[in-house]
Amino acid sequence: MKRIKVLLALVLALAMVGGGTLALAEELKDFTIDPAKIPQEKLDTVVSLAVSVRGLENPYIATIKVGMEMFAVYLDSIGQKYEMQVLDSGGDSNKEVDNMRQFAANAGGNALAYSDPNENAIAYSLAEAMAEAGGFIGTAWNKPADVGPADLTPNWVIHTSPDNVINGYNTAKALFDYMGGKGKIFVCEGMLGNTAAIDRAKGLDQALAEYPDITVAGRDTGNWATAEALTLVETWLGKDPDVGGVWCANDNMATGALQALEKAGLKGKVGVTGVDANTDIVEAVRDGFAVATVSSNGYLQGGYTLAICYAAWAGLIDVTTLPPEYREFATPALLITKENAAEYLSSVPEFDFSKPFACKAD
Amino acid sequence: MSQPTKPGAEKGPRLRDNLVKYFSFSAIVILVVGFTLARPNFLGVANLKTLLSDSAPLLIMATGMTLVLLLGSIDLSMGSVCSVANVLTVMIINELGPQLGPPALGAVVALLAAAAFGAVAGLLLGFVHVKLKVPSFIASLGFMSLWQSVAYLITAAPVSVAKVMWGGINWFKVTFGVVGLSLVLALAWVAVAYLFQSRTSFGKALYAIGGNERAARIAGTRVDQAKIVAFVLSGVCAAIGGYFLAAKLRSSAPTVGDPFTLLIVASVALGGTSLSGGRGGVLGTVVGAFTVSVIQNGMNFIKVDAYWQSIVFGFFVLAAVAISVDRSTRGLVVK
Repeated sequence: MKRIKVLLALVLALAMVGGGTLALAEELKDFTIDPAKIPQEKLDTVVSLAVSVRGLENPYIATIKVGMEMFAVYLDSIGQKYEMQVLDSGGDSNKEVDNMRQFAANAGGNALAYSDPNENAIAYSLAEAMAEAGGFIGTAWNKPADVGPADLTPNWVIHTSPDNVINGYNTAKALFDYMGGKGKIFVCEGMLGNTAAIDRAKGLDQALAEYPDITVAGRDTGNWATAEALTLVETWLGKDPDVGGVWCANDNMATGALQALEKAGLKGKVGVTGVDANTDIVEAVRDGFAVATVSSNGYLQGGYTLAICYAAWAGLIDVTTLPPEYREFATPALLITKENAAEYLSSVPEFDFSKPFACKAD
Repeated sequence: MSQPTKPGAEKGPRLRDNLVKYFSFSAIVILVVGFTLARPNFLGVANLKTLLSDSAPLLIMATGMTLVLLLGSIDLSMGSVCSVANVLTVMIINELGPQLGPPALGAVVALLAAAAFGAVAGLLLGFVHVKLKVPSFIASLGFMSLWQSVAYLITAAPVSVAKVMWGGINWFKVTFGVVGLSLVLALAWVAVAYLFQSRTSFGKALYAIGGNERAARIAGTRVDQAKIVAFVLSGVCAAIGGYFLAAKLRSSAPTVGDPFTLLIVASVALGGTSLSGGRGGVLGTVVGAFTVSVIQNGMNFIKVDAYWQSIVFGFFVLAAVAISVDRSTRGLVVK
């Protein structure tokens, strides 16, 4: 009898803990930043915002910076003092870590950063740099599987990423359907070793397995760069001018592919896909020169990551009690095809940063 | 070929030497004062700790380059040798380390392997340059490309040091006040290099060859041997730099050393070592490496736009090289 009582007590306790976690998760979905709960002392402190990125020449990355500026407008509206900075690594991992260490050291515990680690392997070092200074950081896209925000609680607040395998799969499927399910394609992969590049290529391979009549006539890395993709596609066209489509792991490379096709007089006759929703590619999709791209929504990534870090800094959320699904989660992505490209171009994104977890995909 | 110095023309070089010294030492003071005025916490504990420990890999690599530049040669492959050593280090720590037992043992084996690789890389470059008479600029450019590919072949994707092995690389985070253990080790390395440069016949040979190779050869200096040793040492320095970067970033990347080639040359030039050889030394390079680190750290600190940072940095390098270059040399500037 005693054993049954103990067992019952245990079950009840577990149910309460489980229910509590569920209730907390439900609460977090609707969590709203209440400026009245932020101490005046915090509002008067200059909080340093930064986005740590690979290079602003990439239009997608530029939207992350705009996301930070949008969030800054929100901070203005609640009377929070702040300053902003872009930490540009130029694709150099060591520089990205140095930049973060310097930024965190400068702002001390008042540093908030969004970081897109240049390579997954440096995600921990970036978060560690922030943790050492007592600031708060959210990473996106790249990180190794065996480390995560839980390793540096509370300073490594979140890690988010759109699902790259699905992005790669969806754009490939759109391309293969456009080609009627058969023909040759060229593949411009992203930077070797980059998590996003690996996952998008994985999605492409899944789609290739479903379309046995699609053959790959050329496959190489374009290093995310327009010029390299242009050279690759030009070279391949010399050998296989009868290609039906070019799958690119990002829009910068899709731009290069389109330029090569234009030179060969094939623009509009060969399908092109990318990822990132750069304006020129979305326009090409609208005009029938490209088949599809995906919006990873840099505005949302930059702005909301900083909003969640801000809530942690202001003491409005306790990072130590956040459930794991609120520390690592997917952000929404949108497949852009001819059907919705014009609408996407005419819409201006608007976000309510007072609800930071609105950026969670599910 | 150097022109004989005319008695009346001595004022020129002396003025130039003073300018070099003045530029090297005053630049760092002006920069530190300027950055501190712009942001008083530039000299705060947190930033000093960052600045000093971040300088360590650059300092070690620049020391190696100094020895080569003293010859009037150049080693452009140092960045990619650093990359190969970096990926080799993490591969050994991750794959061999767990079998060896304690993480520290894996880290030591990785250090030895990286250094051995650096020595072999330097030996190959030295041999091609000295024995096959290929100018060091071209030979090292070829090896730069070769080692870049080797780094990719070892690991195309950046790899993190496995969590269980972090014990072997945590030394990089050890600090004594604002001074990190990494910097202490780097300075110890510089001290050894300084003794080599100033107290051994090898060091004297470097200056003699850089000043006038033909005269050095006639005077009985073992020119070929000294040149090869200098390249071996620069290879080892590049490899140890790669090892330090693995500890700093807890990961490897096949491109990690690429940006260092310019930083290394800049550090040595800012430190007053002449690119045409025969003048300068590792102590100046210490100042040069810190100057580079202060410029990079300080510009981020005062929020200078990334593109402007490159312009300012380029200006400093050009100014340093323009001041230190030996215009009395009428032959090949880079041998």
